[in-house]
Amino acid sequence: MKDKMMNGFLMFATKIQGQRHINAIKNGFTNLMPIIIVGSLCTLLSNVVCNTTEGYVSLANLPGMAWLGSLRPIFDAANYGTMNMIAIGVCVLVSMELGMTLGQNDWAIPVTALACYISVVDTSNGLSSSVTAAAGLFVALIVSLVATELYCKLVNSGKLSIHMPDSVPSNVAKSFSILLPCAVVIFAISAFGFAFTALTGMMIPDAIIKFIQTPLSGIMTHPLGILVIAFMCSLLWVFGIHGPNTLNGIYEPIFLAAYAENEATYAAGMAAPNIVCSPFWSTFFSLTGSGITGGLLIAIFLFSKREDFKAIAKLALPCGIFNINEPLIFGIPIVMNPMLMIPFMLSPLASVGIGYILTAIGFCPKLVVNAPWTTPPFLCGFLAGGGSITAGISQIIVILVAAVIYTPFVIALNNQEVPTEE
Amino acid sequence: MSSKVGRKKKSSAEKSEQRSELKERNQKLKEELAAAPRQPNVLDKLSKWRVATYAWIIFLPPYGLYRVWSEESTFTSPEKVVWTFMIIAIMLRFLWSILFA
Repeated sequence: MKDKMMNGFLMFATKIQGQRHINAIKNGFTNLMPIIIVGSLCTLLSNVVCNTTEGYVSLANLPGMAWLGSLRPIFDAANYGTMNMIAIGVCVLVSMELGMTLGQNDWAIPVTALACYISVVDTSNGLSSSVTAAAGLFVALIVSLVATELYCKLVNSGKLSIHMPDSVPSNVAKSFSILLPCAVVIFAISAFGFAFTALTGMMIPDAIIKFIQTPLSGIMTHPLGILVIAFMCSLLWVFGIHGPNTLNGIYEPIFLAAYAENEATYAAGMAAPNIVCSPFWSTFFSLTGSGITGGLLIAIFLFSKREDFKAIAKLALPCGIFNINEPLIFGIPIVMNPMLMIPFMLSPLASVGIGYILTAIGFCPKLVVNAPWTTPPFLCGFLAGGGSITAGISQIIVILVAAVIYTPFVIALNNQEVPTEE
Repeated sequence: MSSKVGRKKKSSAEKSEQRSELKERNQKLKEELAAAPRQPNVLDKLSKWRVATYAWIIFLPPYGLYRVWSEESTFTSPEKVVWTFMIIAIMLRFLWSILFA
């Protein structure tokens, strides 16, 4: 029975891991992460440190600190260059990642993908933020995948390459060999966009947003949707498969788009619209690591009588503070452990649920800054909430709840025989 | 009676064979998973050198750009392309805010 279940999950994980488009999205978003962090921190510094607008809670509004306001253009510029260009970043990174998977490492790939993206969006007002920022993220993602797939197929088939004589330098010959595939892909996607608009009276980005992005976003950012994602990630971990790594290619684009919307409204001084977004995930799902194992550490230190658990917990504590919990997952172990897999799956569900409720009732603010995922609990919440103490307190609450969930299981394990090496 | 015992023995032998087959298949899948191309390491993106580069990009973008392309750079080629684009956007925006504020 155990082996059969294990087989099912391994097959699922292998299928997802081997899916080149999901892999390209996953790797592309990992490479994009520092850009988002830089943009987020600049939003925070611009609004919480350098904002001189009257009535704003900002360091620059304290007596004698108004000079901080003169630094604001620096952070605004950095924020514009990162968060406002996110769709372009996604288009380039995802296309290059997919190209590498398909055996093509050309510079022409991101250029072609970008040209295709720009050819299908509305540029009547130039490259406005609706094209370059989060609003265009999903469209950029889909167009870059299609354009790269098409380009690589054409190049790999070799049918459209122009062969030059041997006397021509290799770099010149190479640019001629990719000339036709590039042109065909750009023309094809541009023509498709034109035909689509002519037939439906709707531009491709509008259709993608209406029929794909909005419904998907509605499902994944719904309380039930995020509970299902949290459950799936924990379930995969229980079988030794890195859940978030396996599934983030699916949920990350949606969470990131929701976050970018929050960030933009926060920067504009308005209320953020979305509860579930990228920082919500790092604040309430991955705090102290998947499974909220900070709760397990507390339960072990308070109630465990097992020396082996205590020794592992002591070793795992420094990593746990920075949300890394592999020492616990494989050390205790939690993987394939029938006793601990129950609280390991329950805790994130409780945490995400409580986080959602606390945000919905207004105790925890909607999150507007994407702090690095290794930021310790409380500080992570504090930063993600745009300098909100209650967001930090919310994190402490969910860790304590997780400790309560883990406690009966840790006590029950006190009576289990300690495995000895034969 | 003896045929019953024989059948039982046969079915348990079949079961254990199936189990060992399943275990073998699981092992193969695990190896396949381990051999799959790895995701870029998130912690590498937050190394000390990288964080310093991000700070330079915010406060002195031209030097940040130099670090992104320098020989000791740990940025991959997709990252280099995107960061270059972003740094150019940051510089243009900064100049714009100084010149037209």
